[in-house]
Amino acid sequence: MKRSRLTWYLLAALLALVPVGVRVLTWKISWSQPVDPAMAQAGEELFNHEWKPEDPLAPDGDGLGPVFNATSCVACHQRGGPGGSGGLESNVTIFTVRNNDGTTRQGVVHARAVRYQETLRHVHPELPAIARPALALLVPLPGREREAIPFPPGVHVSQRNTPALFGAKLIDDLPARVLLAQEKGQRLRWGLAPPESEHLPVGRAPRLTDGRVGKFGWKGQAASLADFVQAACANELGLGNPGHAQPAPLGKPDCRSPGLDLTLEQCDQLTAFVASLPRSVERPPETSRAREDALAGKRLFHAVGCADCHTPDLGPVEGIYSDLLLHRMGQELQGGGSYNGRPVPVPDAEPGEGPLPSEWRTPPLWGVADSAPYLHDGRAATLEEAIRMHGGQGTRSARQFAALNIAAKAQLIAFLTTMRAP
Amino acid sequence: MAIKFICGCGKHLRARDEMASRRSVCPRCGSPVGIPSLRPTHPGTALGPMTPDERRRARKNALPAPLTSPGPARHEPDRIAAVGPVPAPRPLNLGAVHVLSPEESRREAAAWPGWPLETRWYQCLLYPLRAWRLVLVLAGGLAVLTGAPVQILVPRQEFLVGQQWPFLFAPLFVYLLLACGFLQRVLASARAGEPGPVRPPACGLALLLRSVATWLVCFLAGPALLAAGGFLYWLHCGDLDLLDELILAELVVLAVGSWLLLLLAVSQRGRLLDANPLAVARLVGRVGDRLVVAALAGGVAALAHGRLLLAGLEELHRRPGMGGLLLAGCWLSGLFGTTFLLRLLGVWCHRAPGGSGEPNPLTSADCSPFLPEMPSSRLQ
Repeated sequence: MKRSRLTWYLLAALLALVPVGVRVLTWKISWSQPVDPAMAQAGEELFNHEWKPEDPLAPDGDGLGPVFNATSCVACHQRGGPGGSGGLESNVTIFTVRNNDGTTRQGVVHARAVRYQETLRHVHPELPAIARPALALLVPLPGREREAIPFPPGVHVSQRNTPALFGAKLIDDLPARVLLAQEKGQRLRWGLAPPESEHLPVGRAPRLTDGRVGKFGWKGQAASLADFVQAACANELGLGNPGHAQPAPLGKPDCRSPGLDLTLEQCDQLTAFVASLPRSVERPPETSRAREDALAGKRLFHAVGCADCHTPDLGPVEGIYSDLLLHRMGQELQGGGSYNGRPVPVPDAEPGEGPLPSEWRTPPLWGVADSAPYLHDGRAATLEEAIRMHGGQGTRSARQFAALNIAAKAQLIAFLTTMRAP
Repeated sequence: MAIKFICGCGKHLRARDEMASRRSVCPRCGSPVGIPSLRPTHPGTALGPMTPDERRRARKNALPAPLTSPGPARHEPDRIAAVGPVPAPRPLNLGAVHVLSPEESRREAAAWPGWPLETRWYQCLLYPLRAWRLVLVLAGGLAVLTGAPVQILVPRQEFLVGQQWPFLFAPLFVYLLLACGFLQRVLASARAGEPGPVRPPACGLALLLRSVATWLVCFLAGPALLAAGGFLYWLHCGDLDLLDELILAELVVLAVGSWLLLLLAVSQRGRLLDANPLAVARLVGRVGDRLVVAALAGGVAALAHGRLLLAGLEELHRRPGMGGLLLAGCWLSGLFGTTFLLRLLGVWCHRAPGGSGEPNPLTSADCSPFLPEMPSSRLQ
């Protein structure tokens, strides 16, 4: 009797261990693949290449265009070295329009074209015929509020500043569960507050339509570095590739390319080059006084609450100063539209799936000293302006920063300026 | 012939003669009790020298007047004189022992005439119902003290320095202490086979802390590992699919179930050392597999209540009213269910062969782990 009871208990224990065993066998371990130097070198050539219409490097397609923002990757990604950020002059203009029937139309107003030049008037007849609007026309900048043009109902136009690509491989190698653990940890810390909180810094992992977690882009719209590179090639240079078709001009939606401009191998080479870019570093100042100030600034960085979202370490990646999660940043920092993925709702629409206009992925602060201007459209010329403009879930930290005395503010800024491009 | 007396909590106790003038622990409330001696000690015994601890205790417990029994004298003065001088009995702590008069005994027995010890599992459901006021107060307090920090303190945590946090959460800890003490009392009462009213938690801080210590030791003895493993797995597993949910559910059910079994094992003899798998196995062998089934069912209920608690805390941020209601309902239902389950498990243990029929563990040779054993050379 005792033996049969023991047998039953053992059987029950074995049964209970079956799910654990299945999980152990199916657990995905992500291994970091080393970058092939030959591929990276070929990718560097492509990165620096000045593309032309009917380019010989794109024999099957039409080369550059028909609509584009720049003629090479390095033309925008150049601050601090190839792969760095860009200035206001390389901002990308994005629009979202809600039609009367409730559908949305979204895309990019490209700054240049081989033919069929795009302007804001293609977005809506009431907008001016400007191809590359200045940021002050779209956003009421301090001291230049009168320059901003009013948007017609249902129309929203915003810009995206060119981000730095340093350390992209480290981000690419991060498994999605690291971001999800960060999301869960933030919710636990703030009493299970939901991510739609407008006051507590609780972020959420960006989700794509296929369920993957986004890690690249201002809205976290790309799940991998390869996706991000392919989307940028198509939308910024008009180079169609296996991952993304080149966009048709707004004034000629039926314009089609004869074939793909880039092969998959060329895309992989570009991706390898971007992956080979070194990560940004923290460079302590030379004098001991400056080092003390930077150290004090680092403590203030945590005390003020910056580290709630700009987490110093994320999983195995140290010094990234970002949780890579979407956070609501308030009405003033809205920016709808996306040039890949699902349409983003216009600001006055009900929130649905996908990132909201006020949601932004926390940008990594590594290399921040060399990546001015700041925020998603570069509206902040300095770090102090950028901190001041934090709204929504960043309001708490912005207020605490504003409450610091001048010396403390200087120390915090001194800490941020230790984070340089490689 | 046994010495009969009543503890301050109302439990009728009896002890063997050789336990006279010694100290032990009430099996119901856990408070220390002094076993009186209503007869003089045997002739010819000589009091040995007191140890420093005994001297200290004697000074502390010294009473101005000797015990006077309300009943007729039970000893024969002539008989005592014939055998010579009788050493004075050990000082008795009147606060721990109350000798009922016959009238009080009759009143006590008549207080709950229709409340025999449960014989069916569903009869145990009445036990927490009879204590609805107490359960309501505890549940309401816990709901308020769980929700208030989330709503008030957590959003303002940057204004609170480290030293303030313990004071701000102190009311919650106190309420958890009370809830622990209440549940421990329910279990001890059921183990001893005591029918009768549900009593509030023992008032002494030491007793409350003892209850919490018992629960904590039982948790750390095994369930803590399962709980910690479950938490870490939930945090780092990424998106939860059905398999992950199943694993987490198993961990929670096993943690809570093993916690209950360890509590039962410890409550057998009141020894914390019994918080081990062997003692649990012996207990299960004596009581039966139903103990395991009931403990696992408790784990499932705990899982459901845990989800409800989390949902309530989340809802507090969106709709405070609904969140408060969810929290209150969760704690109320949880306390009710835990009281019922502990009563049921305790009665089963009491009625099982070898574990019942001795409502007073003081008749055993085991001692409370919190009181030192008197040296046997003192009594002969």
